[in-house]
Amino acid sequence: MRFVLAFLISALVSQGTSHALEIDDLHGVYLGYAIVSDNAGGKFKEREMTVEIGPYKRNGLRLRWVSVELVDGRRDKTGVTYRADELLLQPSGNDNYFVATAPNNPFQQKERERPIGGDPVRWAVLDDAGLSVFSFVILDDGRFELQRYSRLLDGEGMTLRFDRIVDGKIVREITGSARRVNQP
Amino acid sequence: MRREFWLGVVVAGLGWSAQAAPDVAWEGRWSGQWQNNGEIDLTIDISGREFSVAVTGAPVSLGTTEFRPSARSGVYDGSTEGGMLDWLSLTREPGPLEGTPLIWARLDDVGGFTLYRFQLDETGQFAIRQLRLTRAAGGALIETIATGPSGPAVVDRADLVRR
Repeated sequence: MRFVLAFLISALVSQGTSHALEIDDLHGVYLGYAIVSDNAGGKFKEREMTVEIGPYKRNGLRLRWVSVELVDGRRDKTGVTYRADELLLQPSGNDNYFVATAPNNPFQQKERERPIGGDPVRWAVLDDAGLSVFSFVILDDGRFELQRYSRLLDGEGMTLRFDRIVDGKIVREITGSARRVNQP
Repeated sequence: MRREFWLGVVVAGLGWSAQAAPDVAWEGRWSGQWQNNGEIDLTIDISGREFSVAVTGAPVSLGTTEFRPSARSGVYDGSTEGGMLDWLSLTREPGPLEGTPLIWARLDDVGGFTLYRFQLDETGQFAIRQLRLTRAAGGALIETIATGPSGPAVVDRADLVRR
């Protein structure tokens, strides 16, 4: 679940890198493909993914994503894994720094998250190149896990980069690319 | 009924033992020489299931930081005032997303332990620092590992001897 979380990856867009990116520039639906590399064992897996980025309240972002882990390069075979999730981000006070938030629920008391108890800390940073999303968690045994998904602008699309660091060691890396698609 | 009672006693006992503080052999004052950053002086106090660590000497000078058992076995919650917070000249805030460092410790399964600090600055940039202590022949070894935007890296290490 945490892993997929990271797949809320980046956003993209922009018609070039000559201007500072605005959050509106990120809005859209992106389809992409990535290679997953586990450093322990040297295994490779293929994934297809969909990332949808839209507005959330004032100056916030809503990210929805789906990742499909392929079997033999196909998604119509037994063993294919499908994951979908959503993340809401709101400005922290700094225009380029966003923190994860939960949807409003007037019937539920808001509880403070407790990272020491395993609640994840999620945030995102917007810069001229795009959006990087982070998830930090203290694991059951006290080690930490940090997931980082960022993208680099690449003409009309983007290059995706993900890494998972556990207790000071990179254990998984993903590289891929995505393109914004038209929405009729 | 009796069986359930004794099962509960056993489970409670396991929980208690799993929450033990670091080995008392760690208690006391240790010193050494960082490979790159001069001298280090380390003081460890253990009191029941709580313990405190004070480190002086570049690249870290942490004052005294107290650790208390968390709800998770072998995981300890760092103090929220003094110690590492003083070092960072920060005031008390609710959590990492508000700028307060998250400080904790974990016992490993070979008799050592690691201290951690995770912090986000006002721009969302992160910094994670680990101080890992392991027993070694004739003393102990301390390593500092820093994880930042460029990835993880061992910053320095030192052999420690008891003073």
